[in-house]
Amino acid sequence: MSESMTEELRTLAREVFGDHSGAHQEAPRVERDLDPGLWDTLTELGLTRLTGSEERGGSGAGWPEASVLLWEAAAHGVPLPLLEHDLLAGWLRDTAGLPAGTGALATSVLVRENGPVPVAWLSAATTVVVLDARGAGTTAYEIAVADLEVTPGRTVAGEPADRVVLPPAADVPGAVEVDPDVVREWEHRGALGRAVQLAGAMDRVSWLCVEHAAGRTQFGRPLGRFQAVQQLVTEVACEAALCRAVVERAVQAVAADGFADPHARFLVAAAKAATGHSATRVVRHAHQVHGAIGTALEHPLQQFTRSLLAWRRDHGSTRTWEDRLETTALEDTGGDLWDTLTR
Amino acid sequence: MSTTLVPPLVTESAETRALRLEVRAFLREEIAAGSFTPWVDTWLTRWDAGFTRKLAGRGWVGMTVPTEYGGHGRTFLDRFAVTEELLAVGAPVAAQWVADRQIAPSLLRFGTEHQKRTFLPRIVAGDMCWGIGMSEPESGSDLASVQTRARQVDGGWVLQGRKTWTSGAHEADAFFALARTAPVDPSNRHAGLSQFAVDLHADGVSIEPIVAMNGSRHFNEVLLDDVFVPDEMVLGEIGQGWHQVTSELAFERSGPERFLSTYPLLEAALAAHRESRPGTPSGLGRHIARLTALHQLSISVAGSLQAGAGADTAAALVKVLGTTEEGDIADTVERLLADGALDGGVDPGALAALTDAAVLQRPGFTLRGGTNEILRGVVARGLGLR
Repeated sequence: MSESMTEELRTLAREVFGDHSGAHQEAPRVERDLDPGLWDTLTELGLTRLTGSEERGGSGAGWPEASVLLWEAAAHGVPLPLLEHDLLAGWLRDTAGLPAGTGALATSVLVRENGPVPVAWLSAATTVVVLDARGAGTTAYEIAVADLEVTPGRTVAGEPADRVVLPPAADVPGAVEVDPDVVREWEHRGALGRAVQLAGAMDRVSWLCVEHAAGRTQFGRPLGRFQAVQQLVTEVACEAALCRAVVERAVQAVAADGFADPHARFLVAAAKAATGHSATRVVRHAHQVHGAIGTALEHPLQQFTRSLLAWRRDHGSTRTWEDRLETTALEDTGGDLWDTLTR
Repeated sequence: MSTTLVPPLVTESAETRALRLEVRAFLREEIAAGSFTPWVDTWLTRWDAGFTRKLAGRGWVGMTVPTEYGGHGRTFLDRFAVTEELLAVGAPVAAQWVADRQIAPSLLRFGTEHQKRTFLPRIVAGDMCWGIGMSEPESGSDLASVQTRARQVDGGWVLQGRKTWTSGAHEADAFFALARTAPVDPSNRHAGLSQFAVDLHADGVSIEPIVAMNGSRHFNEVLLDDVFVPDEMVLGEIGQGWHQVTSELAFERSGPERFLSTYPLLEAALAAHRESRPGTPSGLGRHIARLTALHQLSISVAGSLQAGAGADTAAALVKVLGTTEEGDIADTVERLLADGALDGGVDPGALAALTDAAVLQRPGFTLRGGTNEILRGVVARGLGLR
C-alpha cells in the first residue's frame, strides 16, 4: 500500500472511531467490552483481518496499515482486539498452516508454562490460536473458547483478560509443529503492536493535557499560563513525540525487512522499552495536570491512562525489553551498538 | 487529532550511509594511531586545531556550505551523519564546532557577499575558529536584556560591554556579538539589537578565563572596551539581531551533540559489563532504547532543516529530551561503577576517569544553548499554551 493509501485509511479510521467514541461518551464504565456492532462495521470494511492474504480472507495489507489502525483506535480510546485477532491469531494460523479462519473473533496466546494463563479478549472470542512452547517442540493449534473452562478477568484498563488452562498440544487434534523462530516473532509482534497502541494513546493524552490546561481557569488564569503547569504538559508532549519517532521507525523497519531481520527486532525492542518507560511519566504528569477530575470515571483521561498502565506491562514489561535490547537484540545484530543505532 | 510537533520520519540514504562508514573507518584509524583519546563532551572540552584541519582536508567541515564559497554543497543529513560519528567516538572537535554549526549557516543566511567570501572558505578549510558572544553577566536566559552597546561612528561601530560563557574565545579568531544599537523600547524589547562579527584579536578586546568546577578552562569572559567594528562587519541588518539570532536556534538545538555528549561513556560501560558479566543485562538498556528514539527524532529534524521547514519547536523538544538523557547516562554508569557492577573489565581506571568527567560536565548539558526550562517554554508556545 502506498503512503496515500495509509493516509486514506487513517481518515477512514478517524471517521469510524470518532463516530463510535462520540456515541459512547454518555456512560463510561470500568469494564470496557468490545462493541459487536463496531466490530461488524470494521469487518465489513475489511479492517479486522487487514494483514491476512486475500486467498485466506484477509485484506493483503501490512504493518504500516495495521499500525495506523491500532494507533487511531488507541488514540480514540476504543477497545478493540485488533492486535490479537489480526496480527497474532490470524498471522499464527496462516504461518502454522492451520485451516483458514471463519472470520469469527479469535485471540492468541503464547504458552510457556503449565497452569492457568491470562489471555487477552478470551471471553469475547470464538476461538483462541495457541502457540504452545511447553513441550520439546513448538506447536500451534486453534481451539474453540466454548471447549475451555474460562475464569473471567480484566486488565486495569477494564478489557477482558481471562484465565484459562490450555490443553497440551498432544491432546488437540489438528495441532501442527512450527519452527521455534515463530515464538520469537509472536513476541515481537505483540511488543510492536502494544508499542504502537501506547504511542497512540500518549499522543492523545498530550492533547488532552493541552486542552485541559488551556480551558480550565484557576486563580483567574488558564492553568496553561502557569509555568509549573507548562513544564508538566510539555514533558508529556516530549515523551509522546519521542515514542512516536521510535515506533514509526520500528514499523517501517518491520515492513521493509520483516521480523527475521535482527535490526528490525532491535528497533521493536527499543520501541516497546521506550514506550513503556515514557508511559509511566506520561500517566503521572497527565494526572497531575488534570487534577482530581482526571481520576474520575466520567472524565475521558482515565480510559487512556488506564490503557497505558495495562499495555506497558503487557507482551513483556519495560524492564524485560530493556534487558533484551542490551543482550539478545544487540547480540543478534552483531554486538556493535553504534552500528545498530545508526542503521 | 495528532501531534504536529514531530517532523515526518526520515531515514538515511545509501549515499549518506556510505559517507558515515567512511568517517567511521577514518576515526578508527585515527584512534589506533593515537591521534586522540576518546572522551566525553568533546565538542566543548577537546580543542585540537590540527585535527579540525585534518577533518577539513577530508571535506567534513562546513559540509553544507555551497561550493562557490569553498564548501562541499552537502545536505544537512550528510552533516548529521558526520557529526554523529565524530561525537560517538569522542573526537576532539571543539575547534570547528561553533563555526560549523552556527556561524556558517548564519553567514549564508544573513551575511554580505563580502563576508561570505571572506569567512566561509576559511571555515571550510578549518583555518578559522569562531565563538558566540550572546550571554552577559546580567543576561543569561533573558537574552533580550543584553547591555553591550554599539555606538555608530564614522565608518563603523564601537562596542562596549562584557560577553560571557564564550566557549574557546581564548583560541578562537572571531565571534558574533549581540549588542544593543538602540535604547530599549519597553513595548518591544526585542527591537534595537544587532549582530557584529568581531575580531577577537582587535584592540580593546580582552579575554579572561572562567574556570570550570573540575579546573578546566573552556569558557571565557570577553571584555569589549571601545572595540571598533567596521560597517562591513555588521551581520544582517541593524536592528534585526533578535530575529537573526532566534531564526538560527534550530541549528543550535537539534543536533547530535544534544544527546551524544556521554555516548563514549555508555560504550565503555557496556564493554566493561560485557567483559566481566557476558550475556547478562547491566541496566543500561533503558538508555539504549531512548538513544535509539532520540537518534530517529533528531535525524527527522535534520530532514526538516534540509527541506527548509521551520523546526524550532521540534528542535527545542530534542534538546530537552536529549540533554536530560545524556546526563542520565552519566548517573547510571556512576551508580553501576559505585556498586561494583562494572568491576573486572579492562582498564577500570580509565572508565572511572571518564565517569568523573561526565558527572561534572552533566550540569552544563541542560543549561547551555537555552536551559531546559526556557526550552519547555518554547515547546509550550508550540503547543499553543503561551
